[in-house]
Amino acid sequence: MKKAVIVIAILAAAVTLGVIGKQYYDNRYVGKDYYAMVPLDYDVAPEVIYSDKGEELGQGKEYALVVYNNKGEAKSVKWVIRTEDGGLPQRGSFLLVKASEQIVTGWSVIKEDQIPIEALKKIKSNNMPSDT
Amino acid sequence: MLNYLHAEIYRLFRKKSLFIFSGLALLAYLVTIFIRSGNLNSYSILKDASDLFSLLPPIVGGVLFAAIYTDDLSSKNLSTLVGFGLSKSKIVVAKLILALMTLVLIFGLLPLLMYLIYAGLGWAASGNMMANVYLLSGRFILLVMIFMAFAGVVVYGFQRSTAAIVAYLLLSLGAIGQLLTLILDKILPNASQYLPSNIIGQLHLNLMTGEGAIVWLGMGLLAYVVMSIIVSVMLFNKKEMEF
Repeated sequence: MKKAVIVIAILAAAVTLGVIGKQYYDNRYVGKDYYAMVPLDYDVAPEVIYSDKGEELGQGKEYALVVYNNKGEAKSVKWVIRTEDGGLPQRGSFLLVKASEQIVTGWSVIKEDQIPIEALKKIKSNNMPSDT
Repeated sequence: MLNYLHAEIYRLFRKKSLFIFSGLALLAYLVTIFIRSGNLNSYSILKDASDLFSLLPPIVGGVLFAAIYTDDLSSKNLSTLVGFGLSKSKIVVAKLILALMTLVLIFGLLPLLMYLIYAGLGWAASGNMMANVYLLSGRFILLVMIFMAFAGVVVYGFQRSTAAIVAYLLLSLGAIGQLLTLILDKILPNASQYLPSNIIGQLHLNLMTGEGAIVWLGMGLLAYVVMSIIVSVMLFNKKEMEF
């Protein structure tokens, strides 16, 4: 009886840990595909990047963009790209951004024709230059 | 020796603590895979195998080493065996064969288990990928066997369970290997490539690419195993048994 209780307790702990852990992991590390364009008036000049503790991490740029999924639903994301990780995406570049609920897990520069139609419509309508 | 080997296999497969530990380790692995299941793809199995197999030598290997080698010390069984007329060299060789058999079983079944888990999650690995996973498992079989052979020298030389287990853990965690590499690189450049872990690494690479020496590297490893057996037997013969 005691052994059965111990086994059940271990299994219950494993299941609980698994469910909570999976929720946390999916929210933080499982990225979904979003699409964006770096606005034509975006400041892409590299600057010094600092960690949360104030330590200098080298040159890079924080990008804060509105990204769209394949249904055209918007999401605001923010992430830092360091220049030593490769070139900084320039104005007018189309991006594939993998973003979880909490962070951006990856990004790459893609071609316009690789973007789903709904996302591209939203990107173009929100990046049209304003009439002056 | 065959009777002794048979008896040891019987003992090992009836060791409850080993099964409990293996069950808990398997459960921990399944929970980890479940947590990470949202980020898997068809190539994940190889990286996963690499990460998992790297953890096994100290964790699972340590428990296995204790079960195979130091249980006899704790129960004073070695003296009983010698008293019954089993030669010390046969004990040493039989232990190594038992270690190899259990390692082949564990590292042979693990890739299969991983394949089934990944296939169940919708990411069945290709034949090529599984071949690479099995090559990797072969690498770790050789690595852990060498560590056990070397730590076995401490078992027979000092006949102290704690010292032997510490020696095995230092080997399997790479502490001794890294220290030797540092020392050798200072006094004998390029000598560290002849260390067992580097030989096994090179053998793995050569088998993966299909290029480079394989037989010579295999013979180098065999030389290390034979040397460890000879040293173990010599020390075992010199050491007074404790009753």
